Amino acid sequence: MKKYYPKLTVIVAVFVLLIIGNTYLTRTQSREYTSEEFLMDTLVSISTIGTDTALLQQATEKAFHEIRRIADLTDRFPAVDTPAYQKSDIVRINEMAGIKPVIVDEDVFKMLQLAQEYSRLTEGAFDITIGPVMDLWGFGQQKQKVPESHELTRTLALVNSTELLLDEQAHSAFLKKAGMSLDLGAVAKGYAVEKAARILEESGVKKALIDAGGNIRVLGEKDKGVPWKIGIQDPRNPAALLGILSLKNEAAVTSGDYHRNVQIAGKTYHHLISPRTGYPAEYNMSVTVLTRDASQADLLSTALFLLEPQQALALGTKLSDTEVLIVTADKKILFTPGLRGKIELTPEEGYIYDEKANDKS
Amino acid sequence: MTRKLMTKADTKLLLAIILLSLFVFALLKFYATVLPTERQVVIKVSGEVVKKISLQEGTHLQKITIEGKKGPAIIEIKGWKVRMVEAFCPDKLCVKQGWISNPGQSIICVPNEVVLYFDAAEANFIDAITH
Repeated sequence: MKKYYPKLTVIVAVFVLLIIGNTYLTRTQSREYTSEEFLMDTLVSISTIGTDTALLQQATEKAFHEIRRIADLTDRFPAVDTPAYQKSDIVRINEMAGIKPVIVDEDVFKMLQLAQEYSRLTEGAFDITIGPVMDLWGFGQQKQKVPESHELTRTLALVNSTELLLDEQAHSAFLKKAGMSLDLGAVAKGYAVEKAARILEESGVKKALIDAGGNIRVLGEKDKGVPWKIGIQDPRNPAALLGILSLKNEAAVTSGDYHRNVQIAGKTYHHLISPRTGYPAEYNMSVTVLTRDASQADLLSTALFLLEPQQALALGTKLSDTEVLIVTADKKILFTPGLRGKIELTPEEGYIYDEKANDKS
Repeated sequence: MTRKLMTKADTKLLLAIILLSLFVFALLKFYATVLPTERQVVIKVSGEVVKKISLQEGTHLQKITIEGKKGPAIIEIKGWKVRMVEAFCPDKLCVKQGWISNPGQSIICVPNEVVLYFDAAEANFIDAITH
């Protein structure tokens, strides 16, 4: 005889529902997938958040592939006779300076156009044809030295973005004078990060953080209503933060005088060389830029760093969708009005900032 | 036979079971996300985790040698702090950086591809640093 146990059935049914519910919740839970690689002289890390780990993994791999490609195209110091040497458009442009135009990759072309635009915006305070001066100092090479002033004067004559000829039709680049050379240090990383972000987005990733040695680009928010929290490093104390930014679908890049320092004869020199003087720019300690696009943020952080603080702030305010935070050489903190609400300042003692002065908007 | 499907006692039992399961579920989630795990230092070489070290108040002057991509790196742990003591790299930027002690901070030696940082579980308040 079959016996029917109603109570038992109900209890079992409830249990089954609870188990299914639980599994469902776990299955749709967001997971983080992180991957890191050493590229472009820095550590590049991509963290993605989503429910489909396989998708995150594939998208991340594609993004890294693109960063590697941009890195190869823009590498200025690959060893001669290696495959890397063949792959670099920048090496070819520099070698053909004063000789003939070189047909370049679409992305390299765009980077050069963008860099030229910022040279114009800053009236030459920023210039990617700074290559010969960087070489004179020995940045990016084994040995650094302080150049003689007559050497600097002679070399500075080779720095001029208007003598970089870009042909939109032919997609070619040409440095007019022999001895000229490009240095994409201020744009390549940001550009690569931006391309990686676009690839993640196209692949269906909704939330991500890309960090290429402090060049940061986020996709979406970290969680519903929770923005990505990005600390701004204190330029004089590597263990402290000046403040914390809340980011959503945007990029933050900082240029600082505490980076890639070299000691020559007991003095410290940093790598952000002014194309006007040939010496490291000394107006500011650091400049942080927030924009929608990481390549712009990267270029702008370097370009503004090379300007006097008030001039930099004025340009930052003029540009749309751009926020700027400047730490001046005399430890004043200045920022564009639009940054309020996006930043929580936590500076250590010694920094001066007038909250009211920054409070008109 | 007109027996009820569920008596009052049955309903109570059922409710108790549901509440208990929900409670356990919530508790598990709480422990998994909210409670911080102990502080850990993660050491990576070429993007791969090679070592994780739990820090305690009493961890003093522990020196660890790991093999980087190009050569050895010596890491020192003292209480809650970590630093790179020696590294096989030309610029020694990682050594000059000194101690790190806050979540979110990291020491990165690019030539030797060594990274030290505190585990993300407690670094929740910031996601990255622009520098």
